[in-house]
Amino acid sequence: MKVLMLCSMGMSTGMLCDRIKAAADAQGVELTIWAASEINARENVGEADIVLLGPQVKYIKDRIVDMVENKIPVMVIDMVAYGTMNGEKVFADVQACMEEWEHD
Amino acid sequence: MTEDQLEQICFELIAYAGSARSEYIGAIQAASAGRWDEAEAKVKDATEQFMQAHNAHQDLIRAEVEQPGAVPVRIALVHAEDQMASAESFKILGDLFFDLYRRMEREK
Repeated sequence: MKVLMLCSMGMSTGMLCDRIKAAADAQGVELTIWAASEINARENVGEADIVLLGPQVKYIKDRIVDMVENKIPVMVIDMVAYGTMNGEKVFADVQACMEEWEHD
Repeated sequence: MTEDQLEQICFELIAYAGSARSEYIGAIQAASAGRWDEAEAKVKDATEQFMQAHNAHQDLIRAEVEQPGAVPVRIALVHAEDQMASAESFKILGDLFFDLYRRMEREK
C-alpha cells in the first residue's frame, strides 16, 4: 500500500508518517508512506494508492479528489489522532477507508 | 517543561489551530456556493476548535510568565503560532466575505 500524506509544510506530517509505518510494521502490513506539502501535491499523487490530508489542509479535499480524478480515496486525518500523533489510529482509519473504497 | 511535553502541546496546537483554519476556509467556500447552513456549521466547528488551541496556548504563556525561558522556541512552536494567526485571519476575512456574498445575492 502506498500512502501519501499532504499537509501545509510537510513537517508535522513527517513525524506522524513514521508512527503510521511503525503501526503497519507491527501488524506485518507492507506500507510505503511519505509526506509532501500540498504545494507539491500534483507531482506526488500519481504514486499513491490513497492520499491523506492533515486537518490543516482539509479544505483542499475537493481539489485533490479532482486531481486524482476520483480514482483513489482521499481521507482527512482525524484531528485528535493527528494532534496526539496516534499512528495506530490513523493506520486503522486508512485500512477502513481502503476497504470501504474497494467495496464501492 | 520537558521537550516532549512541549512537542506534544505543539502538535495539539498545530492540529486544532490548523483544523480551525481549514474549517474557516471551508466556510468561505460553502458560502461562496450559497450553502449557508454548511457555512454556519463550519464556523461553529472552527470556533470550538480554535478555543481548544487557544486554551492549550494559554498554558504555554502561563509557563513562560511563571518562569521566563521555560518555553524554548522550537520550529514546531513557530509553525503552531503561524497556524493560529492564520486561523484568526481567516475568521476575520470570512466574516467580511459572508457580508459580501450576501450583498451579491441581494443584488441579483
